[in-house]
Amino acid sequence: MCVVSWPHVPSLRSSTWVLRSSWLAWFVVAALAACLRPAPFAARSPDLVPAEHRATPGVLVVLHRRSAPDEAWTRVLDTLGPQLPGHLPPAPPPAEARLWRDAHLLWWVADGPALAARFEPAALRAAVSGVRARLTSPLFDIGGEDVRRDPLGLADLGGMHTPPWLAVTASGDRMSADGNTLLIHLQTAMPPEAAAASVSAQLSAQFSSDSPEVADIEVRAFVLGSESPELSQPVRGLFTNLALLAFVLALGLRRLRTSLAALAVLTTGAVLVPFLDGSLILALLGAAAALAVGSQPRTPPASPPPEPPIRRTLPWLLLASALVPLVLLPYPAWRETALTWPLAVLVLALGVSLILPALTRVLRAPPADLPARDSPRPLPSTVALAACAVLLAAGTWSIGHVPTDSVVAPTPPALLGLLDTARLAELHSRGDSPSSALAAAARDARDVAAAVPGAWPQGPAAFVLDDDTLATRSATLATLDLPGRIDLLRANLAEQGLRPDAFAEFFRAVDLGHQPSPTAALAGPLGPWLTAHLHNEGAFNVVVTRVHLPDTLPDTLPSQLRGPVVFAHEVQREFLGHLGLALVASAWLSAFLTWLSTRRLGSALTAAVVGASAQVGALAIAAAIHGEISPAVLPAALLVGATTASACNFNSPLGRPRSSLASACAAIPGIVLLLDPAWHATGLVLALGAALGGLLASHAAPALSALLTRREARP
Amino acid sequence: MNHRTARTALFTLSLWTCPFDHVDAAPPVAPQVSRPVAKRLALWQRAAPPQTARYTLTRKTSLLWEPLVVRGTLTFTADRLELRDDERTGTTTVVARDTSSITLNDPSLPPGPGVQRTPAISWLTDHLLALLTRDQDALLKDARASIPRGQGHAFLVSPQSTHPAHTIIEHLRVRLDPETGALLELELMLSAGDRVTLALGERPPT
Repeated sequence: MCVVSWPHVPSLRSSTWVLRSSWLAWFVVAALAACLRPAPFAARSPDLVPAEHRATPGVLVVLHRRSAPDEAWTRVLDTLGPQLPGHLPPAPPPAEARLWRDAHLLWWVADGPALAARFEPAALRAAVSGVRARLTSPLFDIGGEDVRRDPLGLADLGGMHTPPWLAVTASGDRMSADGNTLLIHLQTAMPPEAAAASVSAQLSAQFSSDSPEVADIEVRAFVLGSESPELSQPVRGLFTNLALLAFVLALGLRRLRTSLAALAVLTTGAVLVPFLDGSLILALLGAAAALAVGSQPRTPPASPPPEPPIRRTLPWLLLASALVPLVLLPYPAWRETALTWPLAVLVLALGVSLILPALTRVLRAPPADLPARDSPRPLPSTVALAACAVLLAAGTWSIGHVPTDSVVAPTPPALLGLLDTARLAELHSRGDSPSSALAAAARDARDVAAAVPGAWPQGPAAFVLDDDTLATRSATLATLDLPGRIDLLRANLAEQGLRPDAFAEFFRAVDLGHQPSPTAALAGPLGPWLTAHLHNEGAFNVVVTRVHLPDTLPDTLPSQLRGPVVFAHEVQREFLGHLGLALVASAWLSAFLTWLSTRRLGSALTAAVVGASAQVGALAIAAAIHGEISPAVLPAALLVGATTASACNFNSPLGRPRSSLASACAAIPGIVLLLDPAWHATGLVLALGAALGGLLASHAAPALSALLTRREARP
Repeated sequence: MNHRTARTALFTLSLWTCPFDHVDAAPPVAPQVSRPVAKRLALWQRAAPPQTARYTLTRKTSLLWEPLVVRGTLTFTADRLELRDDERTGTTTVVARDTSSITLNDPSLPPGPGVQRTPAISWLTDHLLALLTRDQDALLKDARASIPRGQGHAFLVSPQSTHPAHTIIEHLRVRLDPETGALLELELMLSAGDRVTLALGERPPT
């Protein structure tokens, strides 16, 4: 039979009046905090994407026609976008765009030899014969080609086609190929819900408010760029967590008042740490409950041997420093969390260590009636060592073979097949003047298109060429003897029964006097649209070009590219390194703090090895179940390491490790998070880590500690 | 209750549940069409789809001095329509749900640009196949049906004004045999002014 006493409860006689009434102050402060901030906690997790890679604030409003009549829907397509604040159409009006592109047909072709081949006499004759032959097909002139403006198919060489699954409205907004879905881009920082409400209000104003047309149009809005996962039902998650903790505590402690006191302290503790977000509060409550259980006396207190403060506070120290390794990683949000986490742990430590004993005394709660059992039989030292080694080796190997999940939110289902927002990157091009900014944008887009095959730049950069490119292509075009070849083309057309006059737009386009320079573009039909895409940053004009990246990317992306997808690409290459660094730092911290407390190298090494084994094992199993691993699970993994190291409990007078009740408390947040698909992986790591950590701490840690301490004691 | 009774009870229960499927199933929503159009569509649905037929295609366009006339053979299988011109200077056009193509009969000529899956091509493909399979729901999807002026048993199918194909395709005119409902002629009118007429003739000799 073992007896574990309450290690650091001040006796009633020695406690001051302030200490006795501290529980009252605690609850008053918590009540005030709850009044000031009624929401229980922020549902959204921190955005892992650093500021330099965050997408330009914007909202994509998606309108889907249910059964609105043609007239009403046509009015929406053509007029709604320009009436909305912050409207920034991604494409110019189609008529103007076509006019501009067709007027500079030759200039878009980068492949000079291919262009020259198209103007060879034999190629001209064959091209005209091909046009004449294709005229016999009913699909001719419908499938994207426009022989009047481009009889030689030069647009194919220039790559100026827009994706066939998207069309452009008269106002430059995109719509689906069937015309039933409209995408409106708003350059605004307002939340998507507010944007959707604004669009609905505009629709109501455009029609009459009770018109059936308004109800027949579905309006949804999405944030462009990164969007961090959030708990779908945060209040329910928090209350489920607390309810499960209450249930487990009542079952385990077998004292209702004691359990309620612990629950009250934990609940108010959650209110007092509003600076933590989402899943971390749940995890902290579980870890704090586990530590509270670990400090509960099993029988009426006996006189405990005095312990130095460092030993009493070791579990809380380990917990407070759990997320410190995140400071070393390139995730600004996690770095901020690593700094605020110790403060939250301090609040919970005060609550559990000072307020909870005072409250149990006030409630006259009897000590927990846990059945006293012998310590679990530890494994043989070799088996314990082998178990940890196998977990570390197999877990590391397994994690290395699991794909890294992206830190970018997946494309919303409503946008699938239309716009893959998860693949959008940006180019921010600067210049002293609007034309120089446009030229820089064209240069950047050209570089990106060359470095990333399949990249599709959208925006002003797709409609202008920079000076260098213009000079190069001008030199190429000068070698083609265009006037002579055009005369030959006219003759070939006439021979085949085609009217040369029908191709007048093409003959105008081959006039090399008109270049698609930024200055000409600003003064041309695209001027208003281009000007709308220019904005000032200090003394500079800036143009933002959105680039749709292909699924397969080269290892290194051009430095000009930015955006969540670019950061995600970097993370996917470097995440395993980040994970290794975090785990090594975590193991070192556990070892260092345990050594500070126990002054035994064996205990320190045991804490590090057992903690790391639990971390790697939980991560490997969670990754195998989830199918991928993500930076979002890093805090959970680090918490598992710290709580496992503290569960080894080398400071207990009898060396008794964490009880299964404490392990259950630590696992509850994981179980709650498992219910939310966005937090499935984190929940798995927390739940599995608590179970695995508890097992290792109770069965492997004593044997390892004994083995290492024996070796340490040898001369 | 013995085993046999239980089986009978379960069988009876399953029989009773059958009507519920039919009660819950919502009736298909039929597009609203006028009575004359409905009668014309009923005539159209009377005939079986052609498997093979001879055709004469005529294109009137501002690109040509004279209308272009070619003859060929139409072949239709489940989801695939093939129009093969007789002349070497013609083409073979395949209209299918997933992809459509124009192949020049003269392989020495450059193949030309591929047929992109634009909204207009998708609309035309879907409606040509719907016409041949007699699928009325598919025919009226994203489309308006009307009766043209003049003689003959014909109807027009036009893209809805909100559909992107509306800017390319004016209408598809379908002329039917007044007795059998068989397709006699398809006329595609494009917004650019081109008029393509596909007159179907007798079955080719086997």
